[in-house]
Amino acid sequence: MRNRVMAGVCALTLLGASVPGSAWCAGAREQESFADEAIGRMERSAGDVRALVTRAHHDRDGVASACYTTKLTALEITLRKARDERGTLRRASLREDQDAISASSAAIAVLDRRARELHDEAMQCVGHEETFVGQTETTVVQPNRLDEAIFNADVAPSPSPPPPPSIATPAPAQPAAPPSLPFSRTPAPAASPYTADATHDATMLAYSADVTLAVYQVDKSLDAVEAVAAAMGGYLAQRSDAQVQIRVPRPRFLEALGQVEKLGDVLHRNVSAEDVTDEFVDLGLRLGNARETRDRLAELLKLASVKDAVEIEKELAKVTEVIEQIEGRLKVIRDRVGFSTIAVSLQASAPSTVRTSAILPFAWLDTMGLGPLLNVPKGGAR
Amino acid sequence: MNRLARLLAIGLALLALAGCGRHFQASTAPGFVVVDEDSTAYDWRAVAPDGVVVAVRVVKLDDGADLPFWAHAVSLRMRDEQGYALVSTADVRARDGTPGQELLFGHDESGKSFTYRVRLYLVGKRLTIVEAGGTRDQMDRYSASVDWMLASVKLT
Repeated sequence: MRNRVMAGVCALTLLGASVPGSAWCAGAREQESFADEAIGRMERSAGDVRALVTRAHHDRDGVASACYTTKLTALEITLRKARDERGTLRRASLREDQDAISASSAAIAVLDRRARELHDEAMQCVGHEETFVGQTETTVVQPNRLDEAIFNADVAPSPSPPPPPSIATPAPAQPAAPPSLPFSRTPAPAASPYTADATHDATMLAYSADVTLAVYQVDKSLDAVEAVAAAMGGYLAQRSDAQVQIRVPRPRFLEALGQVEKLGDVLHRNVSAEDVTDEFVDLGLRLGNARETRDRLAELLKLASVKDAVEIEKELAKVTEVIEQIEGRLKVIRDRVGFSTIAVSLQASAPSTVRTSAILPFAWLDTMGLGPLLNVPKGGAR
Repeated sequence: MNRLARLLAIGLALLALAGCGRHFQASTAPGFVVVDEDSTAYDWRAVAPDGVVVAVRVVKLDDGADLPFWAHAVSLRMRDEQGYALVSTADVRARDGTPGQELLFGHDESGKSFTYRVRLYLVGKRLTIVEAGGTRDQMDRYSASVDWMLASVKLT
């Protein structure tokens, strides 16, 4: 009902009437207007580059064609995301969600800037073939709003690991921690404008713990830590005289940490969660770009002359190498997220100050024995 | 007669002075010499040239623990704190008939075996400790002299 009222207010505002609430309308309208302009610019940039691709194709310039194609692919992805954001902005505007409006507008601004960069890079393709695929990046604005088709189909771990378990005991405050960070039951902090309508993707957090324990038998404790890893379905990563590092499946991270901490007196503990979402998403996008480029190059290769085919194949090899590198890096990140690391340093306990029996407090008892008896001082004899 | 009585009185007084502060008498066997010392824990100590030592000391006690208590205390201290092995115990008597207890310890150090003998006599709140020790070989050599000296201790 309120939406309808506000829509009416906005309509009156558009007709030039002065109506209470029109300030909000003006803000939303300006944002949408800006978004439309940005998308228009992106479309023109994409059109320019598309024309260049066609011309290079017409000129049978394989190198230039490959370079333009790369930039065009990235531009089209950027444009698609901008259109998605435009839809989000429209919906946010209708439901009067100012935070979401701001977030979408900011995202479109970043995408617009990136599109301009891509356009400029495309303009440098002729005679500058070296500025090619490996240097192309797509700016990540809102990971949670990324093109799911690209993100999930290509790189996302499947199935997604369950969220980390919560812990029963309150823990040292970690102000920067995300809502689902272990040892914290504090409510989620106020969302930033960029994540106003989204929850944090807890599946992309790499957990690690660093624990220092005082123990009585270091060797046995090292074995015990190792046993914890085995029991939790993890494995030993590293072991030295007084240190051991284990890796356990993330869902059992806290359970394993609890088991480890029972092995001695906890002198120091540091638990952290590293958010690898940005890197993961960025790599996912780059992988998507690279794959699309590879596909386009493959299509070009079918139509190319022998001379161009050689050049295209070189570019194809470069793109393939980039794809392999990105896939390798993604694998590493998935491993870091899937398995949490627990590093344990062990210290031998200080000697106990409790004696096994009481000592009789008679000084003469201390002088019993052969030592004092045979230690005859130099002196005269009678 | 009167003169003889005077001489006797002077003699007794000298004897009393000679034993002033000591509550025991000890004899020195041939081959031993008494060491003149004032600043050690011992009241009397005789040494053989080969390093065998016999010593006597008297300790004043504040509490009324009995002889087995002190024998056990010495035994534990030597075993737990100094690494001695209690080889045997025996009931003994001083020359004056006071009952006591002897503890025989063995101890290895620096590749050598040592023997340590302790006799404890308790009279009232006064504990008399008679010790003898040296390398096992020398203690065996001097065993007759050491036995004689230990047996010569008389509590007064």
